Amino acid sequence: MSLIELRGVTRRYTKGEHTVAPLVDVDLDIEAGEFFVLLGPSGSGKTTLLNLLAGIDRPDGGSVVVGGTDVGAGRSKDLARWRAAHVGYVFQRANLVPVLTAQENVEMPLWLTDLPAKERSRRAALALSAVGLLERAAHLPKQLSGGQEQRVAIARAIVADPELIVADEPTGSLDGESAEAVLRLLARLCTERGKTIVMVTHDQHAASYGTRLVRLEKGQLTAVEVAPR
Amino acid sequence: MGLSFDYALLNLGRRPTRTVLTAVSSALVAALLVCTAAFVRGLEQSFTGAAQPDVALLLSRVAEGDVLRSSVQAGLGALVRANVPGVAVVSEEVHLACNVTVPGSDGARAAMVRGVTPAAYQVHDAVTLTEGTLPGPGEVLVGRLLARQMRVDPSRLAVGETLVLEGAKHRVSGHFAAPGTAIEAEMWTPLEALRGIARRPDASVVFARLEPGADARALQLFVDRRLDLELSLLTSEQYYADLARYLAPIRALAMAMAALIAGAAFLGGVNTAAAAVQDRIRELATLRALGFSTGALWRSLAQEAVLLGSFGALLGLAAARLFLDGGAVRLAMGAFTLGVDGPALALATVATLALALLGTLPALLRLHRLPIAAALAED
Ligand SMILES: Nc1ncnc2c1ncn2[C@@H]1O[C@H](COP(=O)(O)OP(=O)(O)OP(=O)(O)O)[C@@H](O)[C@H]1O
Ligand SMILES: [Mg+2]
Repeated sequence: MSLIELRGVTRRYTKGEHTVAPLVDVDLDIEAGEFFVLLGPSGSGKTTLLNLLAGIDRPDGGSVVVGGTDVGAGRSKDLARWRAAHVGYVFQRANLVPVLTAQENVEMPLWLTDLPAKERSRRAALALSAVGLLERAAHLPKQLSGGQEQRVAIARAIVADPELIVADEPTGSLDGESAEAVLRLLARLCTERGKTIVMVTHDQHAASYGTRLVRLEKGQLTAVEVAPR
Repeated sequence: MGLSFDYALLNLGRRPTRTVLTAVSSALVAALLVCTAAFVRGLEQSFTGAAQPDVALLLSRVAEGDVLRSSVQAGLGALVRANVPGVAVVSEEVHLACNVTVPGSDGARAAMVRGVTPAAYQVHDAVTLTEGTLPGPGEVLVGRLLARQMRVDPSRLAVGETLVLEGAKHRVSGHFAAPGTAIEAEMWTPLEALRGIARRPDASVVFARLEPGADARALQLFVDRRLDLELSLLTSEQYYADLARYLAPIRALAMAMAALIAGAAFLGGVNTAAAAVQDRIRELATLRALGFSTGALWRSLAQEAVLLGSFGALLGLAAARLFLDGGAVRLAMGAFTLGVDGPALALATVATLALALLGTLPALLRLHRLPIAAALAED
């Protein structure tokens, strides 16, 4: 059984008479430990797909099963608990809490665990140093650059050590060097820690880190040849 | 587990203007509520504080319970004392609304004047002499709230000052207190002297204090037998209950005011919480996506609201305590003090906090229905 199984998944949005269907009867399997890259033009439904995998959106048809849990069903409270334990989400925008420091932002997912405060802050510091921002721990988001904010968001996604990390264009706002660092970090989480990565990107170079590339267009998925890096 | 208290605290700093405005409005609400509570309590106390279970009043039947309209024959007190068993003390009194002129203030004012014998001090337990001496002829004993009720400077009614009562000069012999009763807004003078200057040979009322263990049945029997006297008997409790009933509309009005204030405060709270949710919609969606429950988000909002509400309440109650406590309210023919006391403060605090909390409930609903994915895409 694959870690992620989508069967006949459809997601459509209706506004008045207009219906947009980013996903139509989609089947997809992602194995544990894959570095899965999702490509596709803007508006094709990449974020929609990630949201379904992460259990923050529900399909209109079909099923999304992640690690044996049907994340399209279940009570929202149970899903929230499931997300906290199993998924790290790097959003398209950093979405940091402006009133909290980088350290506190990273620590947030651990507030949902019963780890002692000391251990929480140790792990947050560890995650921050993994993205190279430990010396910025006490800074507020507004004191960080866009790229730094995104790296803090990555630290937040990995701090609780989830088996699935979904990342929505994590390098979109980063310069070449930081982008490279982030991609290498994700690749390392995949190879060394066995994490499953699902990453959306527009960037060919970023895509080249993936072990499998799939393109989403007009509601359908098609495999893409992996170009040798 | 859940969002830290710091998060709620820090969120208060995000929109300082809104935070300050909300705190000020909480303060106003708390102050208004404590005013109302003090008013209603003052009203209630002033008309129950004087009720004594062992005291009954004899009035003329036609007066229908109104002391000012009552007229009984002079000497009724002695008659009762001589003929009714179980009566310990009788106090024959004249109650008059008189014109009083206080030198140095413009015009005559109406004031309640009571003509009393020394027995009065034995039936009205609440009355205590606070300053000076009991009044002799040509003298008056002044209640603590009289100056306020007449709207004259208290120094004009100091011991030794003179005032003109029904055209005759009187000296202020002393002051009395009668906490929690409307008596405090009266002035007392000897019965015979008042009869003279007011040309009232009769009496208004006879208060009878029963001996321990005795009940009012013997008095009732006396009233029933002496049809010629055309009396009616009121227990002191009944009398004050009637008064309270008479004041019920004022009380109801005050309660309605409190309800309106509470309603406005509730809607204000709803508005503030809704604005907070709207402002932070993407952040709240992010927190939901990270795994925080709706309940956790709501608790944080509620902490903010209660924190701000408590701060506001503290401010408002302190102000009320400072400016209001001991103030007096004038009614047509009486006055009572506003007691910003423990119960009034507690009531206002609890109400303010409950309102702050209630105001966040619609936000809870909103959070519950928040479409996380769509909200994450919001600007
Ligand atoms: N909540 C929503 N309500 C209505 N339409 C939506 C909603 N969310 C997404 N859509 C529509 O669904 C389609 C797919 O959106 P999605 O955000 O998944 O695209 P995307 O591939 O992530 O695009 P981009 O590369 O620009 O991020 C778009 O046409 C979008 O307008
Ligand atoms: Mg997208």
